[in-house]
Amino acid sequence: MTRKKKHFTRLGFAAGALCVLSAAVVLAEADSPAQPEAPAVPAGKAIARMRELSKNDRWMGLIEEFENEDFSAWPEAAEAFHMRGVGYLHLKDAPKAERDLKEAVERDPEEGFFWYNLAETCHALLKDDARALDAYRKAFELEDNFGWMPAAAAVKAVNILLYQVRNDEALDILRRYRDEDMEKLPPYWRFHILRAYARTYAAQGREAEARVKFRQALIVESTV
Amino acid sequence: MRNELIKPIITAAVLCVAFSGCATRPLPLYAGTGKVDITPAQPVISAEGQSFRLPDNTPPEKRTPLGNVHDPLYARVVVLKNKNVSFAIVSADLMLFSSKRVIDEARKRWSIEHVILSATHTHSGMVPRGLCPTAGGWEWRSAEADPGELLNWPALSEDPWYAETEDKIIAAIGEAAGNLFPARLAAGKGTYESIYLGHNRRLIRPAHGVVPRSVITLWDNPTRMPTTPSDPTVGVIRIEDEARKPRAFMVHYACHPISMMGSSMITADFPGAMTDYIERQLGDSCMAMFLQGAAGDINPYETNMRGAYGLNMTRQAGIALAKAALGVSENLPSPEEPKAVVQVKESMLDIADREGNKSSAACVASVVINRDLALVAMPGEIFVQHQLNLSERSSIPNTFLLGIAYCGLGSPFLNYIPTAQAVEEGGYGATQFSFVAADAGDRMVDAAVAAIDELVGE
Repeated sequence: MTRKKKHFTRLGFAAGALCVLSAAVVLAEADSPAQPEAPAVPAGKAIARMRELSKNDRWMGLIEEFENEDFSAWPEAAEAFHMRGVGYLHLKDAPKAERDLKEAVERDPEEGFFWYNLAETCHALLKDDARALDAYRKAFELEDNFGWMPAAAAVKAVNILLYQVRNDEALDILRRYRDEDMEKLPPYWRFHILRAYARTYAAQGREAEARVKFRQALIVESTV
Repeated sequence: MRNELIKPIITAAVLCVAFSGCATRPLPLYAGTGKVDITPAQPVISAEGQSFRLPDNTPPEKRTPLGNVHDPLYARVVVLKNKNVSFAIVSADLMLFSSKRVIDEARKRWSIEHVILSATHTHSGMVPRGLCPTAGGWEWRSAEADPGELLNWPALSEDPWYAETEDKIIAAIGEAAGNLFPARLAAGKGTYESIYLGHNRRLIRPAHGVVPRSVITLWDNPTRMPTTPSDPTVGVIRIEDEARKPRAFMVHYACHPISMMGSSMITADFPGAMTDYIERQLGDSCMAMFLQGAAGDINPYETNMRGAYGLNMTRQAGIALAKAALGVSENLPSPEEPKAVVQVKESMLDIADREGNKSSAACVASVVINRDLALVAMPGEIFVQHQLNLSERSSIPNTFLLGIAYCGLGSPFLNYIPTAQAVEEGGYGATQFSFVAADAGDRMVDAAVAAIDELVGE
């Protein structure tokens, strides 16, 4: 399946904590400019409305308006399921969040943000770290860049792996972030990645390397 | 009770009640070691995770599962003896162990004049029954007298586990005393900045505008933010036999062993991992021992951990400390001869209560070996600044303060011993869970410095 090009607006992501219910991923534009205009169907207005509600973190309103909507026939069905799933994630409704986010990833398995929020649901609401880890890994692999989402997915996957004492696997995930690439990360995520490195080294008993990373993380954090 | 016997003799602020090892000429030194498993056969600790020894009639659902022993608890003994003096130091993997019975029996049965009972202070071991003054609380400030007065210490032995533990430790002292070998003793210290252990858990927020100064208890510090004061010093005492083979390896460091606190698991925490690593490195014939320092306000960076992660991090903390100690040891030359000057002084202090209307008897035991090593035992959770002050003021290069250490005289446990500054600042361990006068720690350090000076003839 060819991956659709999408532009994301990232809103209000407060990361670092284990319980991450603040992930807000909003699809701003459905298709690339090169594609023809979508036909003026009612779903077009509806998806715009959903995007507006998502953008403003009005999750309760989104659920109230679209709770019973069947998105199956919508051109942007995957996006719609994703937005409603994120709404349920925010409202801590685990079964419905899982249902909609699973639907989203089934319809568009190449979209890392969908996997990310499914991972958040599995981790924070369903307490299913095995599935959360798989989904974080998927999200991380699909978004091969230095944006916030793969960084957040990496930090959270590392956290799960450290709790399972799978320390080498945790380090493998972090290898994307080489010393020379650290500047490419936004500072907020740079110190989180540095700290993930530090914790991984500490768990491996590599104290000297951990000490360096902990110190670097504190320095970067102080600038944020 | 015990204090009633002692109080009449405390007529001065400091009274030397025991002084031995007056000779300053090195005499042949003998050492012996003993190690005994004190893991309870039935770890009847609270199912809520706290390691308090529960009453026998506690229903099973309120007890921790039997399989929750992660690693065994030990009591480790080193006996040092020359013609003039005999001395035993015991390190027990318990939160607190102040048994007058053990000390009396060691004296009576094994002719050991001086005994220091030091607890590693693991919060995942066992807390003897009846140590709390009131219903489940550790707050002694409102109590009528100190724990030495109010607690029925001999009655602790009515608990079969406690009595068995005492018996085992008495036997271990006997084993050490009965297997003496000519010993070479070397001591040293080094700087070790751990990423696992040793941050000061009292964060002082200065006054800002109308917001007054406040104290935040920083139980965890996962970002490894630097805090002060702390003492990044690891102390080492290595005892070798005539063939220069290491037979005992003691590590002094100050940090609360609370990595797995509240986990319903029995573990010796990082001191257990540390001793285990050293014994594997140095061989079965060498016994390792942890000596808890002035850890009253010092925590691991991560506390109350759970599961495999917590156990791994605790193990890594212990191994890292062990490696640092072994590194210090590498630079310690082996003494030429198995001889030593060993001197001991036990100083009694009359410590006023914070409110000044009652007092406690406190014994500070100082052991000086070869004018190179001083061990100073104090019966409480001493704030680390006192350890720093003692090290700075002592004329002995390797002066190690042992907190939660009891020598058989005075109060068995004085709770937290903060600094006067900490009392002014307030907070946990200073104005909470601490009942002694604000200058108690300073006076105990003064007594130790005076005792050391007296022993070395300054």
